Amino acid sequence: MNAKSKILSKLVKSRVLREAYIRSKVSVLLPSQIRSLRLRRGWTQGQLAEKADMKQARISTLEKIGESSFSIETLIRLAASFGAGLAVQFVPMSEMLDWENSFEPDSFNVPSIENDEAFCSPEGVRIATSTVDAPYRPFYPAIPAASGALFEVRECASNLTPISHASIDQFSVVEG
Amino acid sequence: MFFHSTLKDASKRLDHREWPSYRHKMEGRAGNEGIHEMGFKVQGRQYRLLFKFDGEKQAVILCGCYHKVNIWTPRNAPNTAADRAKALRLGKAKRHEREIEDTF
Repeated sequence: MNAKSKILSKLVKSRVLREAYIRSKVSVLLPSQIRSLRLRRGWTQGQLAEKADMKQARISTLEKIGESSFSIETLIRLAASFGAGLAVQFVPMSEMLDWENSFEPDSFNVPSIENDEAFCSPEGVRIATSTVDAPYRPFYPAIPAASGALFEVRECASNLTPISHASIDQFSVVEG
Repeated sequence: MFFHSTLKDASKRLDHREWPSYRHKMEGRAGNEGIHEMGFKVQGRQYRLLFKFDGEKQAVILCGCYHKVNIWTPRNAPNTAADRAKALRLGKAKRHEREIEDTF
């Protein structure tokens, strides 16, 4: 059994070790990510502080390993300032190991929302603007008219107009 | 575990000024020997590593210690690091290379 296997088996057995592992990695990799994102954007700590409505000293602390206990609220504010999203999720330990091992701080970057390809593509723009500028339009799933469907809706200009329906006798409400 | 995680993160960055753990180049005698300081905090305790660059992408850790405000524990840590750096420079000390223990 090699050293890595020994440690992995300890990790399986010991909750305390797992806790220490998670704590050390989060404490190192969160400041590392914040620092990388700030530097990739060419911002000073003061500039990030201004965008996140924090003090520069606070940003300095957040970028140092083990100096700060991160609250979700702080992470949200930083993510919003970077124009990035934030995914806080529980994952299998193996996934965390892979992520931590493959994390490359020098190449780590998250595009801001202005440079996010999904938001820049034609579809993306349509999606983005329809939620902001266009009036609310309910979504109807495509229901085939045939095979006894109750009704069909089709998009017609800016309205969703029902163009056919079954007889009222067939209408029913399902109460749950 | 923090120690290895910190070193691992630092080893992945080309520019030491981007290390989250990097503090500054030291002043005084230690500074003259080219010693830098890196550190991390665990459970409220400030851990420090005094090191110098020695060759391309090589850093030699000379001394580990605690540091709070202006108090070093052990008190002579910067001098110890300077002595060791000098011994290394004069060829009176050898480097012991180890792989960074990737925690897992």
